[in-house]
Amino acid sequence: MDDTRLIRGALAGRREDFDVLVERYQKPLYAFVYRSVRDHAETADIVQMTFIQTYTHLGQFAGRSSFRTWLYQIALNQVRAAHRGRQRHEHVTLDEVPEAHLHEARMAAGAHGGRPAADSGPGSSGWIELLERLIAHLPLRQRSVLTLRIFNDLPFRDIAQTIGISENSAKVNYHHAVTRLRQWIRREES
Amino acid sequence: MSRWRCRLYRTRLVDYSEGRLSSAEKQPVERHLARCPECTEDLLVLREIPATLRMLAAPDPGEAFWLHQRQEIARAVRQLSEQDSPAQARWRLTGAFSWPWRAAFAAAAIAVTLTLYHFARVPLASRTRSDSTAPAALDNGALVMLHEYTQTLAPDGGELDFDHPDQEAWLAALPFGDLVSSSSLPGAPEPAQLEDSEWETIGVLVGGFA
Repeated sequence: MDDTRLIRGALAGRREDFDVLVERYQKPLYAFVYRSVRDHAETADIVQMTFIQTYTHLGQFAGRSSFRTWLYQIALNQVRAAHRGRQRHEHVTLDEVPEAHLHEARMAAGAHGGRPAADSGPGSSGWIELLERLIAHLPLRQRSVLTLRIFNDLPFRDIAQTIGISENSAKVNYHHAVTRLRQWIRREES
Repeated sequence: MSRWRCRLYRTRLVDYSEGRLSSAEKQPVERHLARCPECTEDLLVLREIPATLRMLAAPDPGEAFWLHQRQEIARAVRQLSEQDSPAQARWRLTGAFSWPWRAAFAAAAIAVTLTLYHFARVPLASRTRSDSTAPAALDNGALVMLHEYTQTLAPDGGELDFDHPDQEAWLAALPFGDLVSSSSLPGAPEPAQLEDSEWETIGVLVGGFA
């Protein structure tokens, strides 16, 4: 059953229709939020709150965007609120070099003596952990665009709606995010 | 190749890397790539990094967690629906939004619209430099101005009139955002130096002409 029918059902009082929506979007929503906050407990709270807010405001869903986009908008607002609360990683400029962050990521990824470990090549667990941490250090907008595009497979049009920017701006942010990751990885390799 | 020009191709390069351009749309990008090693490298990165990232597994806290969380959400939803169903909440909201409130809201909306319209009509020359250094990349304001620019120089959607008397004022004031890195337009070519394909890219970006 498509989202629109399920929404109508939930609005008519059929809670089981909303349960289907929760089951459908729980995992992708969790993946999106987790890559922004990188904390399981906080991610779980945000996902749960997102669904509760979605249900509470379901009557206001106008259908101008897809339900999925609307859901991600609500989740992103929660993530933004969490970031404002923590006041961190918000002011990294394009050319700023996160040496301290890289060091932290390197150490957490199992590197030894400040150099990548032997098993830290592409595909290794150390490499994966490093990439995850580097993504987490991207500015929130770039991280959101990158995550929604690569891990949630949203088209740029939907990403733009979710974040509240133009489609071209979403692509430019994506370009920045990818090339910045490249810069950081190169620095790591050297 | 000037990185200023490369900025014009950023969005197209993303589309190109994902194979979402038609053969006609590919041609100007490929011409640029043939002359620009930086963008060629960017293209490689735009293909390699996402492919690598897609190999990362989705975080999975386990089936017990998923089930527990769905139960928690269902419980919260049940409590909410016992108080008020979404439809009832909407009805109550609509009912509270009575005619006097609707009239006040409409008046406020008209006032805001008129203010925005007035602002949009302020002559470009009188705009402050801070307008032109707006950091947002291709935000709505920049798009509107770019569109107005192309409309001024090519009001009928035809060829751009580079001798238009307002051209310099437009170029000085345009908040190109991500297309141009700062208000002083470092390294920016004169309009006459831009190639047709680059104007075409700008045109496509602002929706002025295809």
